[in-house]
Amino acid sequence: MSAAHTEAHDHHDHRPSGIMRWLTTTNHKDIGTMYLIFSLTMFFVGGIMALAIRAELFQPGLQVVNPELFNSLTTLHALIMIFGAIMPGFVGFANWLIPMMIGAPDMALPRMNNWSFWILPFAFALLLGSLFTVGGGPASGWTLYAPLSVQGGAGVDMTILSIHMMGISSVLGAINIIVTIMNMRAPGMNLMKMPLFVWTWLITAFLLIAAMPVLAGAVTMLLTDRHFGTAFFDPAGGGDPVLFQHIFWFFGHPEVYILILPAFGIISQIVPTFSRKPLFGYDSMVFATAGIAFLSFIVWAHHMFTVGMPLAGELFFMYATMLIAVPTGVKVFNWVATMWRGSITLETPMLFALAVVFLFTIGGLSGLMLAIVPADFQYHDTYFVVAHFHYVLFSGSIMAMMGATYYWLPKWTGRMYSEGLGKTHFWLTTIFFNVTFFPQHFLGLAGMPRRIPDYSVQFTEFNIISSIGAFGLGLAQLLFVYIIIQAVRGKNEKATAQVWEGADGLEWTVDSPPPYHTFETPPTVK
Amino acid sequence: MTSSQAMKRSKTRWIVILSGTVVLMFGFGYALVPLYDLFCEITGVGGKPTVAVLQLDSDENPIDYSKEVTVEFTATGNNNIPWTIKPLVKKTKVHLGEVHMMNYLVTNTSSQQMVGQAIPSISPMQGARHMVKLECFCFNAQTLEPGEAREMPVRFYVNKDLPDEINTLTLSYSFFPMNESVSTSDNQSEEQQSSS
Ligand code: HEM
Ligand SMILES: [Cu+2]
Repeated sequence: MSAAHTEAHDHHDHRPSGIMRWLTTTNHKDIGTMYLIFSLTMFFVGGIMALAIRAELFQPGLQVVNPELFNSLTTLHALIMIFGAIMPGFVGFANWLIPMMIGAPDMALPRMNNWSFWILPFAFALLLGSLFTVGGGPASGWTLYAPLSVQGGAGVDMTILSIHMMGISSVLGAINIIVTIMNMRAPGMNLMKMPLFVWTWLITAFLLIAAMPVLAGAVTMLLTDRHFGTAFFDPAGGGDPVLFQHIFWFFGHPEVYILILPAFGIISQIVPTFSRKPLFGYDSMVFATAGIAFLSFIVWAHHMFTVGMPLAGELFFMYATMLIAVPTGVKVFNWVATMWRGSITLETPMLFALAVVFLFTIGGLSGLMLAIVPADFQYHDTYFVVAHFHYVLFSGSIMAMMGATYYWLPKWTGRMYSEGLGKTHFWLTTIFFNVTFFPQHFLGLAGMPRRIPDYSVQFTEFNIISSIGAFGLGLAQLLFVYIIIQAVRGKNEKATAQVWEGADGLEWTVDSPPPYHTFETPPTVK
Repeated sequence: MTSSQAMKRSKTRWIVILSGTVVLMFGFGYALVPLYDLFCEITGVGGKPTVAVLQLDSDENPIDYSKEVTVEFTATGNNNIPWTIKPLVKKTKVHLGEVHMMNYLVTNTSSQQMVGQAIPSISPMQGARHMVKLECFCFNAQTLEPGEAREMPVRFYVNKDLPDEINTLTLSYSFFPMNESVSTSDNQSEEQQSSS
């Protein structure tokens, strides 16, 4: 990415060169770039684990990995994708874009910004290091359910410590984002004029601040149960493993909205640009986002319908969960209404945005099925749940970030990416994604349990299809890297400041690539 | 310059508010522990048994001979304490409202005097609030000499509000050490690993 910056006019800024520049930088664009590269790296690390899982599940029986390693791989795959790929990826976009979108010269707390990034490589080195301990990596699934997580070797302690580090990193990042948005907006940029990406991130940051400390508390209790004689979750000492699930999901459900709200923001930027119309229902989008954020705190027990709650509890959590579909539906409606009678063109970012709207909706519908208590007794802990959350997370969050990369890459590098290759990447990703995950709905409905390395033979055909899809999906992502490198190396056509004909917003008023420092004198927003 | 000072003050204020929220939410995670226990106690869902006043068989309060439930007794050993615990009767049939007594044999297999606390659990948990203990070795911590074995009694009845669909109740115990010396972190986790 250095090509993007060497042209910058940094006459009053003496930054060190080489590795020291990246270690010490407080510039939001540099830090954004580091976050994005980190996220992409983790996407591949987690992806390789997923391929190991799919290789094992290609046929029944045990072939590729032993069951202990399989358990560690499912656990680490999820932790790495959630905390290593999706969250840092969104923080990377936030760093690059929020200051440019609100007309600020940088983030409000640049030094802290540097720290929040540099904690991450250490956290993930520790997490991956757990694989090499005597007891192996964490094997309890990413949800770290007690009592399994109270047992286990030093690998579990390393996981707990790394989760603490990731938590600190994202809380610092969230504080930075809120302070920036609340204090650094250009004159005239009042809250209800902010681009939706900024709005969704503001609300996400509040969710992070409310939810991450609860996770920190839960894993701290695990740690003291393991080593310091407390018995929060050990029934033999008067504790209760179900309590862990309550605390975990009190964090866990807001977390899934942390993983999707910034994607909603991205879609709300891309769709109007390529429909050449302003976003339909801006106010309702803001309120829907806030509504989702609020509701996300009162639905957590839909992950634990089968633990034996009182009937009243099951009913409450069922209806509250279904209620979330209302603001979510408002958003989908608004995106579709934005496209209505627009003059639409289908460049790669728009293709990704359309796929996200369509496929995310499928994930929302399977979510509604899971929210029905009696049905969930059948679906819980089957591949149906796996299909559900990959439709919302891969074809929601990840594909939104891919679309965002194509959308803003020309702004960042000053060069267009190759449209032909971008579209190829889009189609390969979309097709292989569906080949991988759609059959998992059927597997789940037929009763195949999740997180098990072996399965009975009647599930074989769908698993073969799913595994083939997974390898195709993985390979297609090499093309993504190639396209990015090609654009960064500056061989392609130059990008204009506005880049896209229909693009609107402050980030499109500065050059492509933008100078190292932008908006040192704030712009005025009418 | 005043506006940049104002911005600085506003930033500091936000940092303080947000950091305060972080600390508060960390505490909230811990507050969920007593809240959860309270909730389970009120609704009786946690499998934690009830201790209630004596309700003897009398004319106003006769034993209900029309329904018999099976009560099963089990116990779970654990790595935290070198005690064995076993019920002297595996199961028994009781009428609703009828007071019963049975014994557990608890043995300290170590060469140290030890204090242990029994933790009861009842399943299905919908039945937990209907199993009423009048006397139980789990009401107090128990001290056992090295190698000592002792019979420990539990006296209980099943009250008449037991939901119709419940026909079997299982009462289970596990002991937990009270001496500091046996629950030090290191040997606890080592034992767990060696046993798994
Ligand atoms: C209409 C909206 C949604 C509804 C009604 C819904 C409902 C549910 C329910 C009931 C479950 C529990 C299934 C079970 O374990 O038996 C579940 C699991 C899950 N959902 Fe959703 N969901 C929705 C949207 C989302 C979104 C937007 C995300 C993330 C971006 C998400 C991520 C997940 C994940 C990761 C799990 C599995 C957690 C695990 O057990 O590992 N869901 N969902
Ligand atoms: Cu949820």
